[in-house]
Amino acid sequence: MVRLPVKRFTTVCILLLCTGVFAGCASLPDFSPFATATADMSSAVIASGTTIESALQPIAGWESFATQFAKDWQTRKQAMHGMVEYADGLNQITQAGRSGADSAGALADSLTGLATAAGMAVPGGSVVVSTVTKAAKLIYEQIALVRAARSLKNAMASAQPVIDRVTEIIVQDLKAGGDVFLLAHSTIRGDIQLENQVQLGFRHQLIGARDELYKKGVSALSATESARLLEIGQLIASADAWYQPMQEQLQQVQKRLNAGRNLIAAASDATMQWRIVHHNLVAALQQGGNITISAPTLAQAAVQIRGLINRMREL
Amino acid sequence: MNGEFTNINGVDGWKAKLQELLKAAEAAAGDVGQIVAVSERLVGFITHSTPDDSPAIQEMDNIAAQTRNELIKGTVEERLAGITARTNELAGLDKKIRAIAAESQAKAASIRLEGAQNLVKSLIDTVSSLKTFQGTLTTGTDGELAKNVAQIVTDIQTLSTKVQGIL
Repeated sequence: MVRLPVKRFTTVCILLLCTGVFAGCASLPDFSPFATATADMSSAVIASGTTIESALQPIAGWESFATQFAKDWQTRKQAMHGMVEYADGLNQITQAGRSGADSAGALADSLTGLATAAGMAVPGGSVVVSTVTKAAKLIYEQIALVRAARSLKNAMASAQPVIDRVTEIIVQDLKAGGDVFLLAHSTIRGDIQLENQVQLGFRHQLIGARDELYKKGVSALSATESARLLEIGQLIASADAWYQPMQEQLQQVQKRLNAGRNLIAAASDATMQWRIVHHNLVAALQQGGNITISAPTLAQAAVQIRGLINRMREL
Repeated sequence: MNGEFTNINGVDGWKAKLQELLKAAEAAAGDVGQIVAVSERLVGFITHSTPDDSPAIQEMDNIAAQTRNELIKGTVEERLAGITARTNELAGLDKKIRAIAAESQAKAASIRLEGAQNLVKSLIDTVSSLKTFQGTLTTGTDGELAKNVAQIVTDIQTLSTKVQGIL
């Protein structure tokens, strides 16, 4: 099984830069890459569940397994949506913090509108209003940053233990689900062969007989044996009418198994790395300083995950 | 794998092979990789022994098929039970994370001064409505009411000054 380099996700945590510089003003990282990475992790986990469920459904006698898994995976889907909401919330805090001047400006405009509606005259007129608004924007820009930094730190610190346990469970579930997926495909492959049990048995006999004649060597074969060898060859060739389609079917099952296992592994990797990123962000926020979440690396990991999901859909 | 079934002759030969596979199945319990390998060997046993359709061979094929089924399904049941066992806990954790998410969204709205903005917007609407209403008050009996409306508008002006203090 190929382990795809969603280990690039690992480099995300390495790319968190904590310079230790605190410039007297709060600074906020751009959390939109984190929010996007969370959405991609969520997609990978949910798609893994869909992939596993689709492997269980067609197997005779496994209906209760499929039902049980689908019911339980619904909770995993909900949990992933919860994680996306959580990351969005953090992103909203940082965006609000980074747009303090705009918020102050918008409120100042509203208040001017109210003054106009109420017929209030502002001493000094529009020049004073403009100056006061500019000052308010500058002041609130910093207040917003501080408020956002504090809110972000508190939200992430209180979420950390929850995040730890959720990601631990998801990784355990993906491992268990991956095992089920593998066993389902083993069953499907075996059932295909057992459906062709009689034909396969006959073909095995032909090959066994052919191999026995091969062992004698060309020059040692009698005329009867040579004729027999020719006949066996023709019978084996005629078996291709059912054997080749069966082999193609088995290969298709194997392709689906490989693609599914890659997706499940990628989802598990992404979950573990996402947890590490979260840990590092919490630590960086506690220490203060500048943090950069690398957008290109996360975007690359996201492209790989999406590629795997699309591959499963094709198969 | 296919090589292991060549040169097996007679019921005794197949019986010995089946016993070997049953031991392997027992040893494989819990290890999914080994379970898959043994399962494939059991399928190989059935397909290779098939040309001989004597009752003894058929019975051995049934045992091989049953062993394969039980080995796989037993492991699947175990894995699914593990997933089920974690479901309630995960649901509880989901509630907690969504509560934090909701709080974050509320904090973001507060940082964006949405509360103050919404208040000012509704005050603007209120003042406009009151002035329109004030304009309709003309008779002596409306005098008291007109005074009250004027007071409300003054109060709103005071309130808007206080809202400015948020900045």
